[in-house]
Amino acid sequence: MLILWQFFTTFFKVPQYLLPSPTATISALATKWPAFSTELIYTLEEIGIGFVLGTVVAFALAVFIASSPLLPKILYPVIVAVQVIPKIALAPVFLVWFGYGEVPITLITALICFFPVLVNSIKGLVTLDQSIVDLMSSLSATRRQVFLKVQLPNCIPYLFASLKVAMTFAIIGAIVGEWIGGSSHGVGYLMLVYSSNFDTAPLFAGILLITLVGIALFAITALFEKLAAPWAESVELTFST
Amino acid sequence: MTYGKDKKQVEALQNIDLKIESGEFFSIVGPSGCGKTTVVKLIAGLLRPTSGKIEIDGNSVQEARRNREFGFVFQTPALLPWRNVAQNVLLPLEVIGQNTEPNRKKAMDLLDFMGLSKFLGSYPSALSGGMQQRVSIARSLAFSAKYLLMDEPFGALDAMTRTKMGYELLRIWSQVKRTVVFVTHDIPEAVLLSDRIAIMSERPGKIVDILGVNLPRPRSTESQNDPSFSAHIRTVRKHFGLA
Repeated sequence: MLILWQFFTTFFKVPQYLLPSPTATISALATKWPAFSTELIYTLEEIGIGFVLGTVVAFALAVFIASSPLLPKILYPVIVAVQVIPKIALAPVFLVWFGYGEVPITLITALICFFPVLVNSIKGLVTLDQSIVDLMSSLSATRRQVFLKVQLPNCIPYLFASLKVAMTFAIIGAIVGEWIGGSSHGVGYLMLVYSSNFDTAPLFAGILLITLVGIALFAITALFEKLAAPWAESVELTFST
Repeated sequence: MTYGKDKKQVEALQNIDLKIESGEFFSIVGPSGCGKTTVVKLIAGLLRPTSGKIEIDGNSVQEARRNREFGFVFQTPALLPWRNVAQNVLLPLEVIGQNTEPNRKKAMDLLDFMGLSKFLGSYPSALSGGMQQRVSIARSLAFSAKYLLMDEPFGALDAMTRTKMGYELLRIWSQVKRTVVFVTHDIPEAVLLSDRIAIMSERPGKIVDILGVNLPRPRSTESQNDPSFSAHIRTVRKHFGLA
């Protein structure tokens, strides 16, 4: 695809400001690296804090909800319904509540990570093999034992599958947050600057950079998944942006 | 154990009255959906009867369950996929707080006796269905439960594995000497394994007959050639209109 792209841009002499060639994009990434690397720190910070905040709160809430036999049945449909709201559409509300700057952007990122982790963790905590539940109950296991020995390990594949989704969402959250949050920092902000100057090669370099960051973060999460759940096959997820 | 009860609004069981002797191999045979599973779940205290009474050595089932007197084997192996074979077998000991060195040693000896010692570190997903069920049986025997409740334990296995597992179970049982309540819909299997067989009919589940099996023990492949083996099978089949 890269070769096609390169061929297309060179052969048809596509103007740089419309579609830069791959080589132009890569060289723009190199020349603008000082600016990119400075701004990347801000974006990574928003992604990191937002991701951790959103997922930790979501998992804790999932544990609370799953600890009661009734709560999941009552709340699960509500949560799935709430999922339909595009979380990114709440960004302007966050600006009203928290002002401009990194705080609302981080919170938008956290919010966008929150739901996939919440929904799938609840699912992982309550979708148990009935025979295993019967087994534990035939042994008079305490609720604590059932939680630690059955529910929690059962949830791990669901949790990590949702973390992979949350990680890609976090990147969207941070970049879009920077765009609409009137931020003066971050890769998203930098891309807006290049965009308004019709400086297309560095703009594409920004897309490339964010893609690479996304792949790296996804791979790290997937690696943790392998380490945490070596027995697991992939599970089916419930999520939406 | 004596009881008679029904369940939910639908009367699932009716006039179930039986007494299972200590140390005996007792089977319950009946068509699918007749309530055999309900009976073992009632015995284990996993379901509560709406009426009637079950006693285990003079105690209620709930007391017996709290005393961890039941080892349960389900139709599916019900192994915890995140635990390897050894960890699965040690689960009951952990739950009942008896995960001590001598008990672990006993459990490992049992795994050895059952030919599982080569697979201690394997996850269940790496084992065949027969092997998984073997692990499940080992787990039910790995602690001091007095009663072994087996709910169609070989139901998901192919015919050949199933027959082998039957002999394997007899071999283990002759060593551990537990009271076994064994649910099956396979008539020859029940005859081969049991001391007595309760024959159940459908909807509501009722015990229509209890049959003593006087095939000599220890039983082996030879037992199937014994003329009384086929005679017993015929007797059971007659109850289901199959002979």
